[in-house]
Amino acid sequence: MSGREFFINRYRELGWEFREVTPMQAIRLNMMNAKGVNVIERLENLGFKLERIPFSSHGYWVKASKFSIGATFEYLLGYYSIQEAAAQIPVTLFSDLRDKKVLDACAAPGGKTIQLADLMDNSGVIIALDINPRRLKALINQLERCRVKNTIVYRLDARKASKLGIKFDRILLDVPCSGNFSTDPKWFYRRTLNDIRRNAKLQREILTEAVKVLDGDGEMIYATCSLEPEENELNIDWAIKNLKLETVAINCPGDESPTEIFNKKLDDSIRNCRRIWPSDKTQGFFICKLKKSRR
Amino acid sequence: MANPLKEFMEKLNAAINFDEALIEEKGGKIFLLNNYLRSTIDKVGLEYLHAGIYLGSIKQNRFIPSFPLLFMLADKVRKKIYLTDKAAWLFICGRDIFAEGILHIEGSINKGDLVMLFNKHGECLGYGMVKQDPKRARIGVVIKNIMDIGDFLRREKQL
Repeated sequence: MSGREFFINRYRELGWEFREVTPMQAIRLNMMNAKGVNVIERLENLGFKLERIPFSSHGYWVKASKFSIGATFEYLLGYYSIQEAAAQIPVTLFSDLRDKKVLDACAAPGGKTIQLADLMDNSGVIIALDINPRRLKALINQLERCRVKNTIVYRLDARKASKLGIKFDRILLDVPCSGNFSTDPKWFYRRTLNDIRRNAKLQREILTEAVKVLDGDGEMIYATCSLEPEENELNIDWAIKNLKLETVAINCPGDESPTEIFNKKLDDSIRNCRRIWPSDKTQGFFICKLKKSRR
Repeated sequence: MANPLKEFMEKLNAAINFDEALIEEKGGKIFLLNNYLRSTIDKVGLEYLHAGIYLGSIKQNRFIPSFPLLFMLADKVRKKIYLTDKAAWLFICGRDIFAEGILHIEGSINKGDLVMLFNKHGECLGYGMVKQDPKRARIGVVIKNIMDIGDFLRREKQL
């Protein structure tokens, strides 16, 4: 069960008609470094054409450029990060981050870790985990470039997060996923339903461990850049039924998630999840906010 | 405080009084913590890869500063060399500085000094060693590039 037609038919069943897209590159200002610096004017003087991202307070789409947006003084000085527009959303959905204990469970290569530190204004602590040495190196480079002060990085599998012995106020689960066609031209030829099921299983294991280290009043954001329900709505439905989690309504772009998928009826609260279909402005994304159920 | 760090700051004629209880060396890397990070690390008890502000590393008893440390020191140093746009770009591409690339100089600069280099906005781009008096030099390298922020791009390309 694989191939372009197979997946396109699934998307149709979910209510989206496939079209080829090329998501625009985007940046996000790191206000912890960029306060008082006219970064946008400086980039425009270099020939970059930028457009405000309406749903990200410091995000801009890069509409045109004469050279790489990653090869400027401003980038090297940590004034901004290159971060796809939809990927800028999850971290902004936490209700309050200042002075909090935050777990970024699958942190590398670090785009969202930097955004967390920025929104926390370097207060509190972020514990950033990952297991891939090459990606961890990328994460640590980003932390240095952006002069982040409040992060501790461990090489630790998110499925072993309880080894940390800490309960967290906020947990970001930007879990490893199958990705989507909008950022990988060969996606349809590389992915099978078996891959997706394998990733979904890994994601459930991460969710299970994350619940153990989430404080009673804590908030958890679950995000993937996969379009496949097994990694998204079906996993959240499973988490509601098996991990005593409940979804929280969020205000962000995207379609309300369907509550019936492939003839399976899901918990009604799945409608609180958001599914962002790929477009020329964003890649595909799935986002859900969770907390421990009081029921 | 690890001595090589102190010696490096002295060479730049700059000093920051770090709380030594919050400085930690891990595998040759030096980190500056705060009390919250310190207590979190103690509570977790696992080996970390990075914590707080990375100040630099020690290799063969030689201190290699981090960019966050250079940025912290940029406000403290008295000797500063500001570069033209072109020279600034060449500098972050790893090149040395010639006399015509210097916009202006602050402080008394002598051969052998370690100096920090800045762009026209006053932003630190790295540091280098003075090879000849910039006010008298006509030909040849004036500042030898030791470290520049272009290193981030070079590292990204290696990943």
